[in-house]
Amino acid sequence: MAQARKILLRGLGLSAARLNRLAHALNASLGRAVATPGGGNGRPDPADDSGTVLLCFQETPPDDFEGCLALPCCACIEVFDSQDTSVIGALQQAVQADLCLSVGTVTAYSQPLARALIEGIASRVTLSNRQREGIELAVQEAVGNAVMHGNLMLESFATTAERLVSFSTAIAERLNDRTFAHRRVHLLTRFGGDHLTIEVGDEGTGYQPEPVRTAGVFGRGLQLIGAFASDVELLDDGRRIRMSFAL
Amino acid sequence: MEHRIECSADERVIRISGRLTFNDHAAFSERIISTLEDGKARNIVDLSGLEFIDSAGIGMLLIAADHVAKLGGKLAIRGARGQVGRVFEVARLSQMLTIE
Repeated sequence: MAQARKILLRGLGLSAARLNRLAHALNASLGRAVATPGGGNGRPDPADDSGTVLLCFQETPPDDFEGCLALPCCACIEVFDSQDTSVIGALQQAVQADLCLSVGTVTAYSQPLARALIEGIASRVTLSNRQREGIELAVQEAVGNAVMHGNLMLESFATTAERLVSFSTAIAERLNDRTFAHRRVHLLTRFGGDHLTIEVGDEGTGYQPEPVRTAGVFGRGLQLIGAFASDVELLDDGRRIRMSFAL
Repeated sequence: MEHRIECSADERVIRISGRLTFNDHAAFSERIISTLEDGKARNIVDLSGLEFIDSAGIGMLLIAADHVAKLGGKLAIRGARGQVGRVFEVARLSQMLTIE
């Protein structure tokens, strides 16, 4: 993210007081100006062109989620009831990255995060259709693992029709449980000269990937990531995956 | 995931379109697997309208094929194209599913 540009916090569904409080906290930690344009309605503002926009939303994600990282917006961060600490942490991460998505489990489950990220990337660098397709799939697999194995702590995907029913029930129950639902999924993107690095992290208890089985689906997600990324690292006991892609 | 099902006397065609991903488990179970219970002998899953699939989506197709086999029928996949076709190649799905 260009350090010289002003940072603009935009809010969607937040009170002006809370947005100002977040801006004040971020300003204090960064030591440079953070403003809050747009009156907290989440819509683009003419003032956006003067800086780097970080969008914070509460309760309802942006209608056009796939376009949430379109220029000049560099970050889309979900805000929960009263957790300023985790939001400020996410905002600080966003400032250090080129693109950032940091949302709760329910949003990560229901919204097309991988599509939103690839749209944001493609609006900043030129990608071939194959690159775009490969990056989107790798990110989709990483987000699926972060949500299902990480934050929802479901050990493996169902492999029979009977288990598909109980698996679906377990997903619905955990998405309704704040313990699981308010965990975050983070996607951080950094542009290098000839490559791009994407990290996907969760707030589960860690995850050990299972080996690929020829007749099953375990591990196929990591296999697909490996087929499209030039480098893959599992970090923090499996809570974070770092993928690099040649540009 | 969107779907449409067309049945004749001895064949069922299930057309799946849109995206088939890790948040479709419940929909796939309720709308696709449940329709297979009548044990119809020949089932075709037409993916020509499917734009995007991930490994969880592949897993769901494998579950459907296994379930039909347990009921004594057959399930074949057809029409995979674009991203879906290329993911099938990378995942070597032709070794696990009947692809027409």
